[in-house]
Amino acid sequence: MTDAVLLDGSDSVMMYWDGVWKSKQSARKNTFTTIGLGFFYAPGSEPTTVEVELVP
Amino acid sequence: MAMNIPVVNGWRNSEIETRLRMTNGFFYFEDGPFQCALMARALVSMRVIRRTSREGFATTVEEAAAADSRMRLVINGSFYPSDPRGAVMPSSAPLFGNVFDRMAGIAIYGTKMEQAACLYLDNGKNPRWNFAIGEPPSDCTAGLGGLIPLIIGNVPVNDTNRRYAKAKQYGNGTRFGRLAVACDEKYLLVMLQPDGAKDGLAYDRLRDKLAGGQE
Repeated sequence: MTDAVLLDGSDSVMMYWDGVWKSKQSARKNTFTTIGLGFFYAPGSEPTTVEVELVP
Repeated sequence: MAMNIPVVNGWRNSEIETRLRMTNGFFYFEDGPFQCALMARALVSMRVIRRTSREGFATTVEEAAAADSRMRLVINGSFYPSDPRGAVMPSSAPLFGNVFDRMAGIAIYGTKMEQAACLYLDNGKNPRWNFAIGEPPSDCTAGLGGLIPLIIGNVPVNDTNRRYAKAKQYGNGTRFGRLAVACDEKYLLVMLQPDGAKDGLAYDRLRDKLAGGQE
């Protein structure tokens, strides 16, 4: 990696991946934290799906 | 299923490339105690998630993800200079560093110190990520200041950086929870060391792991 930073650590760390909690904060930090970062598909980058009509 | 793919040695191999393609540019894996989210940098955008009521932050996160089908990953963010007990309203929780999100209209000015910033700029033509010492500019798409630098411009940070040195004084144990955001020219990596991890890394070794050292 050419660049790296650390965000708030200790029992503040949390990760919510694809609708699933991988790590949760302590109950106390859950009431205290106000800021997080969300990562998502940039406009135009999201995968496309094609609906196909199923023929019996 | 846990995968023991080393982040440092060989993670930029054909297997990772294949898995990134198979997972449309967002790939989760575990490396020892580390929970890792690897993303194709060119496909990713970033926004600030902000709690605005007395609800727990977990609720804020779940609601934000549910409201945007493009959202794949949410992590916690800023440091706080004070740590009161009990629920607090966002307006009474001061932050280290500035926080900006242009689309959401978020502009928070925190306390200053020698620290790092992570920011995303999208002008519609050439989106880019930037990690630097200093504060994010107010016109960035999304940016977070007040962070601990580990590697800036391909140069590992050492104890001459006051923010880094103070962070080590505060708690340099191997069981501390740590959350890194890192990048190179192709990838964006979020790596989380759970709080209480048995085989975690202290600051220097975590920095060296991300910089490409042996771990």
